[in-house]
Amino acid sequence: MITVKNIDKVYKVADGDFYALRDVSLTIKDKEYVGILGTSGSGKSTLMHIIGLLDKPTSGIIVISGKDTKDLSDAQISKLRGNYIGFVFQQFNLIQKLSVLENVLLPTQYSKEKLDFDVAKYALELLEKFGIADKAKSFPNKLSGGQQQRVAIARALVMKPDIVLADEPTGNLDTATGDEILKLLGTLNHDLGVTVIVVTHDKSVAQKTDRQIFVRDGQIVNKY
Amino acid sequence: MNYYVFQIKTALKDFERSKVRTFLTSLGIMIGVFSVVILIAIGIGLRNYIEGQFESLGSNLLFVVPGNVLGEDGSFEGFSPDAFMGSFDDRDVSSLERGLEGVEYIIPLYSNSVTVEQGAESESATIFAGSADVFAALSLEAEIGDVFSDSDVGKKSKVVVLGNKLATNLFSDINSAVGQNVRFSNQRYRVIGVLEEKGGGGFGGPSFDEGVYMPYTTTYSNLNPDREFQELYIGVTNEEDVDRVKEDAEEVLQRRYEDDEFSVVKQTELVNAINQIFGVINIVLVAIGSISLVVGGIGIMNIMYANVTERTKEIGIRRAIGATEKDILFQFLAESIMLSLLGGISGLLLAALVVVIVKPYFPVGLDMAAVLIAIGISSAIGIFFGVFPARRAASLTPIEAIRYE
Repeated sequence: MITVKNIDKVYKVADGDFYALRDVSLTIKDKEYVGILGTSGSGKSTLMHIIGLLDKPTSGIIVISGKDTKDLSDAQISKLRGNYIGFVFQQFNLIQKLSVLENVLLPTQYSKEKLDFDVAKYALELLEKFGIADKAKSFPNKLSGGQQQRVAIARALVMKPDIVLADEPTGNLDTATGDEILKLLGTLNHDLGVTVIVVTHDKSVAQKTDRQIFVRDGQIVNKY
Repeated sequence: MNYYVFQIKTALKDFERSKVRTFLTSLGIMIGVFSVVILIAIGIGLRNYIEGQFESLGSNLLFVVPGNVLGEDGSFEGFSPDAFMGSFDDRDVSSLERGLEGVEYIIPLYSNSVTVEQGAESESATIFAGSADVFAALSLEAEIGDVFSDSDVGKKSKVVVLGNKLATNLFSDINSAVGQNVRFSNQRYRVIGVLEEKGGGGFGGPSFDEGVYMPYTTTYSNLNPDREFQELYIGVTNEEDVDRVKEDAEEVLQRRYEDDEFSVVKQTELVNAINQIFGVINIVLVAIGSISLVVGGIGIMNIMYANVTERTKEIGIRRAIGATEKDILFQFLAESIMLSLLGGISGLLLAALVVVIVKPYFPVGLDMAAVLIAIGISSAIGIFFGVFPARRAASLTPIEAIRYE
């Protein structure tokens, strides 16, 4: 479960403070499929980064899997991020000099604990499931956008995380491919029981999730 | 273990991606390590060579040289300007002969540089003019013909014995050298013998193989009209008498000279002095070579800073998927250490190759300590110059890094 309580994110700007998020509180239960919907600049991505422990709030509390993250060290936060959270980005964010399989396996290299499953086998299984097993040795720049996003999803899943955070996962894809990716994210939630949070500006994308949270001007609102 | 292999593989992948940059960056360290190792090799080679030359003279030999060369404790004090000018004469030889007991020979030695001509050939050479005992003292023997005798010294015979290399350079066939004439300083001298090869190069001191050996009396007419000698060699009959003879010789010479005008030096003291001089020379050489190492290190730091900027997004991605600050720090540090080591090892191999090629012609020697120092220094440079860029990479917050375009 993810609990966000009274989060503020404030940036210093020339004419004072800018609130990217103001007093945001929300709860996302285990195995939920949630869409966070907001226009550009609404603060939805900042919210995702804070939930994903990529950024720290100015004030407020985030509890992930029962752990209050406020006073954790960098190593503890990195471990939490690596073990519990998988990320899918609009820009795919694959490392170009690594092959598809190496990209997928990368999170396992940073795990300081011995994993209780065969990571190489599991990575190949994921690629197989996503229909890109034949691209395992290819490099990202040889793949289509849809294929690259599948690789990114496989990378997000390789540590068997509880939560997958997807930031505009269809933003760089055509409609048909975008639909396939959303279907895939839905499958992760329904079949594997992973909590999936999709951040988007697109109503039709958000509608594919089970629950929508609307963000406007840094605050949670009832309607888009 | 796997973690370190992964980090090393990550660094290698980056090198593979930018081969030219990797090569150019390590080139600085390569040149630095090469210079340091080669300079140490030359220093060691020279020391060994000169030390070997003096050690081959035997430990029962005393050298009388001008100036105060050795300090109270026997340590090397430095040559005085007088040390390079002749300041002993026949009188000193006679008084030493009279005043010393247990001495096999006393050789007055005059040396000078000349150009020796034979037919159309001409060669630079060093004159060693002494008594007939000079050959025994310097462990030199004739390969062809004979060496000069006491009678040649007495008669001031215009005869010379040539070092092996000099004879080879002057005569197409050294067997034909004996009986022929050579010219230097407007005089003609008859060659009566050619010495066996003694080995060694000609740096830091005159090579015996390039010497012209002649009776010291013969030099009086032209080369040495003032009849002065730069050095006197005293051959002590029994090795255990060396210290006593040294003291006696000092006493004899003190009657004519002040304490700081001459030194009587044992072969062991001379070898120690040589070691001291070369110790200092080596430190200076290494300091000069180290400048290029520092320049190379700055090159690495520069490239690593550029690397951090260029790969900021990658750092963000790695942080997002679980890399800690330490992981990123280690990754960049590993890269700079490997760059340095790559340069260090290449420089070392290049230096080893040069040493192998040059060794037959020039006295050089690879030293294990120099090798270890070179590798140690290049790793240290990698750490020192890599740590600042690596810390900058590690200090980026994941979101700052991932948003970087």
